[in-house]
Amino acid sequence: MIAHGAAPGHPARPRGAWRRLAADPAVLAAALAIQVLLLVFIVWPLVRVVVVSLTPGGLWSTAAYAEQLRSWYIQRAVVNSLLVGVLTAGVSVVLGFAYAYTLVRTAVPLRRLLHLLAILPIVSPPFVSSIAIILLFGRGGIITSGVLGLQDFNIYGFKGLLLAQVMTFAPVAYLILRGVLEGIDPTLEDAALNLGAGRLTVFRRVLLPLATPGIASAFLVVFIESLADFGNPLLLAGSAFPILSVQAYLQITGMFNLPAGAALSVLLLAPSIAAFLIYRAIVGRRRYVTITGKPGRSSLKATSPLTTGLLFATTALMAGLVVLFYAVIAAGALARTWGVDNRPSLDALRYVLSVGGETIRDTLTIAVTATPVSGLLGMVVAFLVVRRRFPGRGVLEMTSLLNFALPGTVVGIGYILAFNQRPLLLTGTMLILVACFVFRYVPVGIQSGIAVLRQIDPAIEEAAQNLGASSALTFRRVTLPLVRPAFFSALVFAFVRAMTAISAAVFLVSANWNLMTVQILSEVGSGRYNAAAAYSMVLLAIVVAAIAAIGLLLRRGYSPVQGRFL
Amino acid sequence: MSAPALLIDRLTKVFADPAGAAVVAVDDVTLAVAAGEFVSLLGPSGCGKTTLLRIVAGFETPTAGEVVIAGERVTELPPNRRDTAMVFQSYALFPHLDVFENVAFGLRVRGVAAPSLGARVAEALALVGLTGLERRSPDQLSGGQQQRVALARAVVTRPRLLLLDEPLSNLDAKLREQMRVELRRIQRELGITAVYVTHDQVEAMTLADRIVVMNRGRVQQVAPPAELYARPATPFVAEFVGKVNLLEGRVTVADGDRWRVALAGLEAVVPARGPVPPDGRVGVVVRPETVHLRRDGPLRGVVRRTTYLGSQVEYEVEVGDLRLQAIGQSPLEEGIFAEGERVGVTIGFDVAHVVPLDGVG
Ligand SMILES: Nc1ncnc2c1ncn2[C@@H]1O[C@H](COP(=O)(O)OP(=O)(O)OP(=O)(O)O)[C@@H](O)[C@H]1O
Ligand SMILES: [Mg+2]
Repeated sequence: MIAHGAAPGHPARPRGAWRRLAADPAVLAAALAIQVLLLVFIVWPLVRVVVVSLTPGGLWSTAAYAEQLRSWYIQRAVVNSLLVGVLTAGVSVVLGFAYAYTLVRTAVPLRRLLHLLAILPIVSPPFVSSIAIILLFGRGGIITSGVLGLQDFNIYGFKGLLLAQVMTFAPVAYLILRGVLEGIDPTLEDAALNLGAGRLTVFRRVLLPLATPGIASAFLVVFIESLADFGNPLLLAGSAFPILSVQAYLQITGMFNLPAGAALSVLLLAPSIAAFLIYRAIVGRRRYVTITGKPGRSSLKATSPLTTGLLFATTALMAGLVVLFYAVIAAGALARTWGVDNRPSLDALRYVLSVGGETIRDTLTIAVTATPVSGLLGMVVAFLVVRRRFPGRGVLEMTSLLNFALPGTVVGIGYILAFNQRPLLLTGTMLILVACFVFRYVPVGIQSGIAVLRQIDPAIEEAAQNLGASSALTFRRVTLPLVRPAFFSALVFAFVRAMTAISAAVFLVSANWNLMTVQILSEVGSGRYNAAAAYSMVLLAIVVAAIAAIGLLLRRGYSPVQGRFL
Repeated sequence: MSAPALLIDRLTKVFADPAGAAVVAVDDVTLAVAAGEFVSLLGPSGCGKTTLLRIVAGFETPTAGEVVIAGERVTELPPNRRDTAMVFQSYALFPHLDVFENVAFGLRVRGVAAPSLGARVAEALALVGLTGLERRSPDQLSGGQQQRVALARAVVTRPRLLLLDEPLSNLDAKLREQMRVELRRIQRELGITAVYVTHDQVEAMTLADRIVVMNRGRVQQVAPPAELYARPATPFVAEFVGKVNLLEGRVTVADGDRWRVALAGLEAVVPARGPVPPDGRVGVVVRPETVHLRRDGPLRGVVRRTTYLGSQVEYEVEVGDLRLQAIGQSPLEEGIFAEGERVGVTIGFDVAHVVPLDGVG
């Protein structure tokens, strides 16, 4: 069929997106404001890092890179970082998959407990494993010197770091892969069994191909996180095993060499961005399937009893390791002097609550400020991206997600470079930490918001508009309540990360605004392991309490509200 | 005469498909709907019905043309300022609000306050027969009840225009029939102007004052149901509305209000229609219920297929080179012809209708 031009005397009037936007200015205003914020707090710091790394001594040149890459030590750091990243990702994905498969696809006991134990490392500071490892295997560690009586065992370096990172990031892989496996209808496996396929064939020919995109994205996410990790390498890598993120930090804080630090962080950035682009390509191609009313029933017959037993044993072993790690942290927090005098005492906790009281208050203030802002921003961006057409929509989505690919070290260096002069003089303020957390962790909220929104019939929001509600009112009264699960996870994630983040924050703390994580690192640095463990326990307690509180708040706040409406 | 309740003026909507090619979803559609009228948009899947409705509601911006509601040009007005009420195919009830709050939503947006709010919601719920279910949440309702909540939510604001997009398509056959009657009653009672999208011709026939038949984005014919059935404007309309034998032929003699038409091996005398086309080729629309099978008769045929439907029997009968569909009424009284049986055939050419064969009429 051919388009007919309008009849003469009645010219066809072309209408663009602009005219519609003029009628709904809230959308345009919100999109514009958010885009400006993203440019200032994500793109601009990144630009500064790159520019500074390319202008050592004020002139454009690649000298900073050349100088760094000439150094044998830095070459080792590049290789080490990539090697640990790939190995951590590989091991984490295998373990995470086994763990997720056991919990989702078999009927083993204690699934709820096993799940909670896997979550625990995710809501802890990313270097808690390192502290536990030092307490267990370090000099004076209870296993190495206590149980085994080893005198010259050295946990520092490659093996310690790999263990710490796997303990830290395998849970991340588990969570992603659990979602993947839950999204695959188990009746498909039943159908394959019914068609005569053996169990191994079902796994290889049905489950694995369906899970492959998910497995690949879990690998890439862990790879990115491992590259960006700062706390574990700082504590465990040791000087014989240099790691890029730590070297960048040392260049800046130790040598005050900004171009060198910037250049090293850009070296860190390149593989992250590459991994992120591959990740986007994989995730972008995946179709979103609306969850239908009827859940797939399966008798979970696709795994043999023997395999189930093996899986359960493996899972229990990993969970046992988590228990051991946290038990030793608790023991450390309650011991008089770790490794020397292990009698119980509350001294360390008392020290943390008195001397560290202000740091705890700072940390809480910043987290409580950043959390709602980040959560709401995530939902608004998801709403705009999924439900509205406006110029620059793709750019908005891309910039808001970009930060996910930026290692914290890059962001931290970028922030000190970008916000150290007027009109954007923010160094040393609370605002710089809040902004860092909001924009750094908003991508997770955006992504879960987008995923949930894509599963909600757009007609529901159209119905609200059709009944007279403006864009803003529709968002507040219909969209936000509907995306509550995503909103919840965005808030929890934002809070947990604001409490536990270290790699970017370590550049941004000041005498006025200090963070618990930074304090923990410095306690470890000065050998006060008891204090470090005590801080970790307090931090963990706050995070768990906050998650419970957010859950309660959301449940109460969004029951159908009668009467009070606008 | 006052302005029509809805005027769709030369509306065109072109989408870009993912490959970038242009898809003309609505093609130069013009339509006027009078106040209080019930108009049905009927057409096959993908013909642009939903797109047209969504343009009227303001969810899509037309590529060209205008939408005028009660004399006011609304083409650029956002959906929340158009005062149209839509019943969505999926109902689109707010899952986080109960029945009362769903129905109250539009009133609250308009700032209707407490005493009158409750009264109007109660009234709307009474209208659809759902009094007492105010505090249920949508997922505790049956499909039919959800559909009625959607309807109550739409009419409670007394909109200028009620837009319905296949609202009955998710219901089972019995409930669908029942809801058709209720829908019509409610629309009459409130005197609301309604535009109803469907691809089900029976639904359109039973509900609408006028039916707009669409195909590939274009309007084929606008007419009341009886006229649409008796005098389809194009072969497409004839085939889409009801069952039909569409016979190709050539006019041999045009004699006043009767034409003699040569069909494959037959001569027929049919009612004339307009001027004879230059090449003389026409389509003759013969409805199956006007083809009668008897034991004997001058025109002989062979039964090729028999389909028993209880109250009727559908036949396919071969007459010379023609294959015709026929309907035998009341098989309990009239009996059934077996496949392969030789029968006498009478064809109701005197009530047949001629359509031009070259596309749009
Ligand atoms: N957003 C869009 N982008 C591209 N093409 C579209 C879009 N929406 C609709 N179309 C196309 O426009 C045409 C008309 O679609 P529309 O939904 O109006 O059909 P319909 O008559 O309502 O069909 P159905 O009876 O199946 O609901 C179809 O070819 C469809 O593929
Ligand atoms: Mg449709």
